[in-house]
Amino acid sequence: MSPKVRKGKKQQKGFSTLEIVMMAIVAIVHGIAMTYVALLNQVLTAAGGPILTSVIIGLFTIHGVLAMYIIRKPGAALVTCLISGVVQILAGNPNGLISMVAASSYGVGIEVAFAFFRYKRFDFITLSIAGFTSMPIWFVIAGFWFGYIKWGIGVMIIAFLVRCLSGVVLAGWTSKLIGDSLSKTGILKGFTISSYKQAA
Amino acid sequence: MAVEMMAYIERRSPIHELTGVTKLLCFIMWSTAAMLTYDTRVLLFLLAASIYVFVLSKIKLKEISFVLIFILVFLLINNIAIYLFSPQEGVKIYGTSHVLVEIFGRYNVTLEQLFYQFNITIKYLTVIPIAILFIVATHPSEFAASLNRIGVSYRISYSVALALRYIPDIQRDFRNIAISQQARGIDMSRKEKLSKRIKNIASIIVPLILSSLDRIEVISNAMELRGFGKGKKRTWYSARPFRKKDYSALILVIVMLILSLIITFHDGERFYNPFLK
Amino acid sequence: MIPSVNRPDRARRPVIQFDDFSFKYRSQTEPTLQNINLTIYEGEKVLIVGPSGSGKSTIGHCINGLAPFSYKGDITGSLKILDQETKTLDIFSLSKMVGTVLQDPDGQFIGLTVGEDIAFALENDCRPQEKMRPIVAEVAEMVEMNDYLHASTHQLSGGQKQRVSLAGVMVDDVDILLFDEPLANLDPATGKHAIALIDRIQKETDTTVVIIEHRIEDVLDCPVDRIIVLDEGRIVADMDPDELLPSSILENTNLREPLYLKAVKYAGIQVTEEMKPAHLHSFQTNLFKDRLMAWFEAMSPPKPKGPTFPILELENICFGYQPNQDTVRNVSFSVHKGEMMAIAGKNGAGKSTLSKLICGFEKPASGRILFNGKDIANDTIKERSLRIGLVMQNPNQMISKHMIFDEVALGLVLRGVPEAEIKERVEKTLTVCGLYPFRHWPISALSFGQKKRVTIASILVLEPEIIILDEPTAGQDFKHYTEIMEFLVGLNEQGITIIMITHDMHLMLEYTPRAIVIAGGEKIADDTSVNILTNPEVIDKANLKETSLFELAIKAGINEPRDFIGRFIAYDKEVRTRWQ
Ligand SMILES: Nc1ncnc2c1ncn2[C@@H]1O[C@H](COP(=O)(O)OP(=O)(O)OP(=O)(O)O)[C@@H](O)[C@H]1O
Ligand SMILES: Nc1ncnc2c1ncn2[C@@H]1O[C@H](COP(=O)(O)OP(=O)(O)OP(=O)(O)O)[C@@H](O)[C@H]1O
Ligand SMILES: [Mg+2]
Ligand SMILES: [Mg+2]
Repeated sequence: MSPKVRKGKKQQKGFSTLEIVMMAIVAIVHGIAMTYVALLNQVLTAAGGPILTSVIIGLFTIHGVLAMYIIRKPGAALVTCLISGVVQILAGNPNGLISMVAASSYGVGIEVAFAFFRYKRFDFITLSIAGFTSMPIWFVIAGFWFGYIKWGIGVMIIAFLVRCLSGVVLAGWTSKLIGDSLSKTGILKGFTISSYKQAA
Repeated sequence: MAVEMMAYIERRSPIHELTGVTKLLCFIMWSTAAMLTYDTRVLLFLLAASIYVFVLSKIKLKEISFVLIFILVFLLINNIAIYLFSPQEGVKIYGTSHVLVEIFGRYNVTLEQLFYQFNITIKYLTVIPIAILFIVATHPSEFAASLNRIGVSYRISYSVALALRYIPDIQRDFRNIAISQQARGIDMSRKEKLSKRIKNIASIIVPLILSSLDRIEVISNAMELRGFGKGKKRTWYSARPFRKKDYSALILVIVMLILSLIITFHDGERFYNPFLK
Repeated sequence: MIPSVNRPDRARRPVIQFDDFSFKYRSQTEPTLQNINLTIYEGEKVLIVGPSGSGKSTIGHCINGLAPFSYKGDITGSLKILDQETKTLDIFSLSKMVGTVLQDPDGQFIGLTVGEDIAFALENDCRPQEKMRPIVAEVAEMVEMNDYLHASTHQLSGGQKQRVSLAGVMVDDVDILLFDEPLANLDPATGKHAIALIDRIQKETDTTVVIIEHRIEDVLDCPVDRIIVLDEGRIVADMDPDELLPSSILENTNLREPLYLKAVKYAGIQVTEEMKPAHLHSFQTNLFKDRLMAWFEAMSPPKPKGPTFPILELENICFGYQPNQDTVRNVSFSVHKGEMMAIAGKNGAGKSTLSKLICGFEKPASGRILFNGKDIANDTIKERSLRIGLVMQNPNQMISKHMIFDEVALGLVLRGVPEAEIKERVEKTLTVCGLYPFRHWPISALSFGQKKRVTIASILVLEPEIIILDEPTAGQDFKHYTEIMEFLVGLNEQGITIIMITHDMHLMLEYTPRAIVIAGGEKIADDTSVNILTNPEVIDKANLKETSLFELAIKAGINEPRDFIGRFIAYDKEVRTRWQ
């Protein structure tokens, strides 16, 4: 696969006002949605420990991948994740207490994937990888904090794989789906996503 | 069940006078300490300290009762869930079993389990007053201003202020959208099959995205029309300088964090075990 | 003596100069503005009107720089602001010269508090804090918001937000103030205040003011120098209001004339420029008093409709969004089957909340809601929706499909109606709402007014027994307004009950015989629209506005002004039926 052709026009450095607002709103929408998911998550944690919660974990990083897919500038994912962390605290999500740390580790994970392609590739594969890499850092930290370590190596590996898979599907693929369908309707005019040629 | 936002409460108190960033950093360190330790002594100390700080802030319990009740109910549910799904966790951790009441099978009440759940509960309780204070004693725009001050670019700092400004509006949208879809016949109650429910949730997300995108355009136009993004720098109407108090508060909390870690891990065990004799 | 309209002094300096100017949005194939030639002079106050989609906002965007800097497009010809060609500037230098107040007071309120929002432009200008504060205080005082500097958005009413927006652009000492539909979301009295405020500020600071607005009569409350009429991207008139109003230009471009003028025209009176029709105060009614009187006496009073049985009853409803808050206080009223009624009142009075209570979106804290005499407290939202349809205030909150057809069909699909029937019913409804030609369009390509019609269609198609419409005519031009209203009248004649929440006093007068008025969460009146709109006490309490027909009748020496309004409405209805 070759990198997508960009239509002329040099990319502006830093974020434009439109992008700033976009990140803020994506973070709010996600943050609010997550307060609902958090309730579900609590039940899952209690019911099935590491593996069941891991299934929906991808939802927790979708905003970062989506923001990056639309905005396509270094830092978009990290900033969006961080704002979302603040929002979750303020929206009264009891899990928001640790959400700042979680948010930064997700954000860094996503940035790593895109940075690897020097922020030049934004296709299906890159997004899948970003969904994947959004997971490990937080898994290690959380493993330590919540004491997953005592579950034993077998469970840990399965949980890890489930999480990464969830990241690929729920964060990576879903972002692509949402981003593409929004882009098709033409409402993302001002963003970098629409100055790329649509993949054939 | 949308949670109502907590908002800034104006007061003259030492806590209010700290800058937003100081409060954020203290809050993060505080919750790190509380998360890492299961040592009951440390937790109790943190709890006492957080209550003291709360009193210092002059915020009245009544003003935050709604959120507090919500969190407490949540904590209760959490406790019940922990018991239902792992009634023997305490026994596993502390290695002994002092049975108080037998119910059936695995479900008995042990001193260890009670002590374990007590620990979990105060872990949350130590953080709650601080978290609430961070929210109600930090003026959001002052927070953005102080982020900018410590080197975060002003555009990004401002996006935090923007997020805070628009949370209630979007929360309201969210609710209106969900309801208006139900009024068209979309069922999201448990009566519907899971696959159908997921589909139905998707049909709520579309209007949410569309109305949000609409907002994004209006907001960013309004901002640019008033010169946002013009220069490399901007000033802040509600900025407050970093003062000695801020440094002292930070140092105090750092010392506390380190101490609590030392006490927790000095014997290679995160739990304080009163059952070991 | 009321001052007459001051004529533009042509010797003054031109501040906005369109010269053979055209603008084409990049995504459009045809230019939206075509060969615009327009000069606006220093200190002038100009009103721009035109049907929906005629390019009014686009002109605004060109003046403030959103086009082409934010909305990309191609410009031919020239546009100079204060003698500088806009193409060579950027949006920031334009923002120093042009202050824009947008339609949506919520969206443009950016700061968390009033003080910060006013200071926003100064912050971006890097003014030091100690210089910022006095300027903010001074400007806040000018718009009478100095007591609210620490208030946050949710504590402000719609009108107050509008004031803050105005202050926010005035801190920059701009030369031009541009308003794009400043009245759209305001109740009539607040709208009147806003217009008066704009007028005062203009006089005090000698800025040039450009107002884009559908509500011509409301803007004319304070004198304007010129009215520019736009149609399909071209200027079709640029004249003094006194010259424009007697002509048939407004009628031909489907714009709404002031009501008093319509009455005079109905009476067969030839309005001329000499009568000074732009403002009721200056209107020379003595020139035709007798003819108006004769018309009045010749008209027969309207026949009241016989009462039917109550279909919906609210009994002592109380509700608050938060504990200890009472957004709705002890409201009771009943709606009769086949009625067409209005709910009016101040911004934030609780009108939309009331509609949500009826549809079960919110649960009343106390009180009962009866449908056909049965308490519906235990009915779910979905069950209620089979009988009561609600078109919400904000269309974006209702739309969930990409294509218009699918959106309108959604409710039927969910109810399992056979496909052939769906197609038939949807197409019929789309035709009525003037959307049939667009049925395969994506919704994102529609304007606000068109989206609103899609949501109306999506409820109409379900054929509920009661339809509640929250601000159905917001953002509609007169043509579509009339189409929608006539369709609702048609439905109403088939026995469907219609409740409309509205700020539009004309709508109340012309279409809803009965109205309920809400102020501060309480019902303060339940009477005929005519009686309500002639009752100074209610008008004052609920921020309504006296109809100009009433003033006209008094001015013309008619002793029974209420009757005059009643007969006008009856006559108007007849004219409309003849039309069809
Ligand atoms: N950003 C845009 N991109 C492409 N086309 C646009 C854009 N904004 C407006 N148009 C088109 O330009 C035309 C004029 O739109 P404009 O918003 O100026 O109308 P208007 O007179 O202000 O109408 P209304 O009274 O409904 O506000 C419309 O047909 C619309 O489709
Ligand atoms: N979801 C909500 N949560 C909390 N408060 C709300 C909510 N919706 C409305 N309110 C508040 O309730 C009051 C009544 O609002 P409502 O929307 O019913 O007014 P309205 O009469 O429809 O006003 P308008 O004419 O401006 O549409 C307002 O003060 C508003 O801020
Ligand atoms: Mg417009
Ligand atoms: Mg309303």
